[in-house]
Amino acid sequence: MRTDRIVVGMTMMLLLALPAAASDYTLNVFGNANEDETINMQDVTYTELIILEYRDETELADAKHDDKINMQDVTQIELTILGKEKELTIVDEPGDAVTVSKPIDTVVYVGHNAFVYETWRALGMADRLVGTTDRFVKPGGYRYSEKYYPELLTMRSVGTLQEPDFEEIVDIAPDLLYTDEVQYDVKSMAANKIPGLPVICMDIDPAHFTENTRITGYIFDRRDEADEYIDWRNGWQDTIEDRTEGLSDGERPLVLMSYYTPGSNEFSVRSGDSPFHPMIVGAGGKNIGEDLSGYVEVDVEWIVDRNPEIIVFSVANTYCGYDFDDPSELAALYDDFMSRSDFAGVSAVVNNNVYFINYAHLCVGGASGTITEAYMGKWFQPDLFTDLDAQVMHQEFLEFQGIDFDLSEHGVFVYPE
Amino acid sequence: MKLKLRLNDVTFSYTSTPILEEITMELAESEILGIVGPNGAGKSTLIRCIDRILKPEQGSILLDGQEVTEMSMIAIAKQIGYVPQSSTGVFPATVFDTVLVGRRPHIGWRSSESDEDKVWGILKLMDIEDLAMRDWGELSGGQQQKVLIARALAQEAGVLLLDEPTSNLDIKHQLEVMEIMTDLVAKRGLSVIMAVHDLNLASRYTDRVIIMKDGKIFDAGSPSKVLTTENVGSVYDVEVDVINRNGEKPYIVPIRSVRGSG
Amino acid sequence: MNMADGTAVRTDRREEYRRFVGRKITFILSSLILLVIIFGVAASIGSSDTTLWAAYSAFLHRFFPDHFTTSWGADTIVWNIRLPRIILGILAGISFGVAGAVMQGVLRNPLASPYTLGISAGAAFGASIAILLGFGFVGGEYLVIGNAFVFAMLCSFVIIGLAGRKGATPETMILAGIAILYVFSACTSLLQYFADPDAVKDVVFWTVGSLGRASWPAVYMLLVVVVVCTPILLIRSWDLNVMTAGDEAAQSMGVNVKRTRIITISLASLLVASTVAFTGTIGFIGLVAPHITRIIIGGDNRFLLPSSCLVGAVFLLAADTVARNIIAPTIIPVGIMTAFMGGPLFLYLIMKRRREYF
Repeated sequence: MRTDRIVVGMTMMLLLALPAAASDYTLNVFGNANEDETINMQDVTYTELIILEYRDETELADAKHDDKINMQDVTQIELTILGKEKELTIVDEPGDAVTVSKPIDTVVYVGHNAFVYETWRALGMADRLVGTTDRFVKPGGYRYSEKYYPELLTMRSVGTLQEPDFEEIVDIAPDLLYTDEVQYDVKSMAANKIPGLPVICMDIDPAHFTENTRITGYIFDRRDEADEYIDWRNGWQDTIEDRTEGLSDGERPLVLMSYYTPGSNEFSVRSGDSPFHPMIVGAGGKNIGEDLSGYVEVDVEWIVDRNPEIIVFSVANTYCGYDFDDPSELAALYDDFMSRSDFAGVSAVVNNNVYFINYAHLCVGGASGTITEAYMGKWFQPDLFTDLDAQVMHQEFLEFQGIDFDLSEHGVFVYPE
Repeated sequence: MKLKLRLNDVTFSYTSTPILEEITMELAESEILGIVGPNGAGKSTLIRCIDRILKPEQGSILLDGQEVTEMSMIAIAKQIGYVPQSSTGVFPATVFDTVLVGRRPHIGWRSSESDEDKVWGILKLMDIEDLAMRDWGELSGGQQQKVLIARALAQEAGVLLLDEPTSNLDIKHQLEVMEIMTDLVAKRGLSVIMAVHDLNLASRYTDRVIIMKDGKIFDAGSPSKVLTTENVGSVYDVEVDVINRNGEKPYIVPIRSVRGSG
Repeated sequence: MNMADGTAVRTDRREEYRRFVGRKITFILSSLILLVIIFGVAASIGSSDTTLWAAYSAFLHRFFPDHFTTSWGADTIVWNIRLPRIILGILAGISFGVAGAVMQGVLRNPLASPYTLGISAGAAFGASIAILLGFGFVGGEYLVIGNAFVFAMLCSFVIIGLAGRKGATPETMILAGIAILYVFSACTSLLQYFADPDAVKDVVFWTVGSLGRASWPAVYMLLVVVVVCTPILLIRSWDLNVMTAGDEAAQSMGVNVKRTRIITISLASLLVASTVAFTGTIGFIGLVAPHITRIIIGGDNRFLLPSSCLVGAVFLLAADTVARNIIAPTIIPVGIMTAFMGGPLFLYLIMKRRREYF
């Protein structure tokens, strides 16, 4: 005990002299006193310095989240470092501090997108899910898949995103209610209907993949698994973006990313502030919609005028995905577009640089978004990525997901291959 | 004869063109005053001004010596009943309930037993008790008119204003309505002003007649004084024959319209 | 006919009238009883496995803690999930029912409703701004609610402003309402056109109407509005009766038509705007509840207004109970269910009716 104190004291002296480490993001977990990317002994020291008034108070230094910074917070940080904390307070996407009691064994997910659940599977804690929304569970739902989510086929439904069935949730009585949907205000509904139930609202989109996956690791006591998953995904991400980073505008093909409805003369364009823009840029393309903002639909003329060199259409699960082995439906969609007379002169069509890629499983974020970036890198910069195989990354991803699925045998995700 | 109502220099206009110009007239107690004149002469407007549905620009209207424009709407409603020219029932209402509505000036927000008794009395007076539970919209034109008169009677007002009560009625109902009015005046001492299209009905059933043209009173007096060949001819631009037997009301026989005269 | 016969006829008619009034009172009482029964049913069934006894025990526990036991689950389900929803449904039904009846009466038009007067469209536009642009007059939990309310009131002000103008007839007000309806629908469509399809789905969901956002605070807020506005409208039922005779006839009977119209439409709009803000546009009830009531008990507003409140409440609560349970745990938005259940019922009544009603 005495030696501990001495070590702490010495560290403190050292740290007093050091500036706070610069970091890309702040891990939004209470106890991260110095507001860096992790919780470690530095935070213990930092908090002690705050108590001694050598440092200004930080919000996250209040590890016990009781509006007081004292030695209890130091103890809490030490427990958190050891992974033995009884309670943990995090800041979620709407900016609320949410306190959860550990361990969290059961969780209901009022889910919109797949990346949260994919992250849970990758962290090896998907079995704690005890109920989720219709869209994952009901045939025809946007996220329903027999082969990709076999364990969800028998999962208990808690109704729709817009109006979750809170009676079901009360019956389940989970340790935590989790949602990735800010829009529908699930949080305030839940607060009114099930007071006392902790609700976390947090997505794991590409832009916040690292920090949110790390927070997930803290919440569910899967920190090592989270780090492993983050390293794997960021490894691929860096591999791709290191090669495209230095490309000049002239070296980047002009890319239209959209989705295709046969017969439609209006096309949505991924604007400069959409989550797809960084994916296009990262893959070595120049986004045709980079100067636009918000959700934009344009007509054929707009596209023909700009003459994109590459067109990427994302496609719903009704044409492709894990449940398909036969690409004929996707091929028919491709043929329908390629035979359009209005696009006949566009260079992407002339040079056969039109690609279709699955939307629900690949494009929409988390680690799976990087798979799309890998595919697109091959299409945009074939010379830079001769040695890269997007399918290899995809197969590694499936290992994280714990799905026994051979991509060389099954599934339709891109066309033409 | 006691004076019931007096109008002094009443002028009214919607726009710059006056609809009524300096109307001065009187109504005695227990008198039926007929207002005749061509379409657009201002008959309905005059009636509506008297009931203050329209507000005259100038002039005074004295009811029992009291200025009508200074009375509250409820006070006016207790003293003047109004039977509109046309009424359409959008929603179903029984005859009884329709007449009960006429009790509005006398009750707050709910009717009492005595209000209902009064309505039954009026239905009996008008001989429409049997229709009490029928829907007003289902009745014939004559029956509907009687119900509307009954509604105005339910107000228990001393003055009754009727705007063309006999239009759209067959000859039997025309006579019936007119007889009801004379009867009411005789039994209840009501003072009645009615705008009438049919000159012969006016001649036969009114005590006095006002003939109007272009918002002004052209002539006023007893039917035999007012309904002359000359008056009717110049007010309506028509050629008529007036049969005026001694001691009887004049009878007007239309001959032809005078075109292009002016 | 001699005197005795005449008196007999008169007594008969009086007896008939008394029975007629009796029927209306019976209807009001039976609606009330029906509402209580549906309340009981709605409180005891749901997707939860909570048993009937557990639900009632949890309910009674708050009143007689010594005699009834409860559990966290049953207590939460009854007191936090079902009761606020049921009461919000009843309040919404009352407010749509009375507002629809008043608007129809005061404008003498069977097509008048919160929807045709553009109030719902205004609310939908306000909600769209909140959902699609994130802009609102109040923030947080009440972003959408606040916006919907403000824009619904804005639309009513236009209508009310028009009512105060010289020469405004009920017809011009209805037409103005329809014009407002189109303008705001177009504004909403324009916003939707430039919006992310995912967010548009939220707007559509809001537009359909649901009781999913029921909470005690919502119930209290709406309760205040309903408790204040409804009695004032009920007291005005005599004036509404008079106004069905026509503006001029009503004036001659001592009713200040313009003022009455402004007061009643303002109160009805306030009711609708407050309700729609919490529930979304469940507009159909505002149109149909007064008509169904009128077909059954006639057009006397003294009975029509309270009955229409009750019919609206019974109808909305029944529809929501079905919507919650028919394919549980998926909850069908109550706005869809009211149209599904109300449409055919309304058609049936129109075809069965014995007399001309509108």
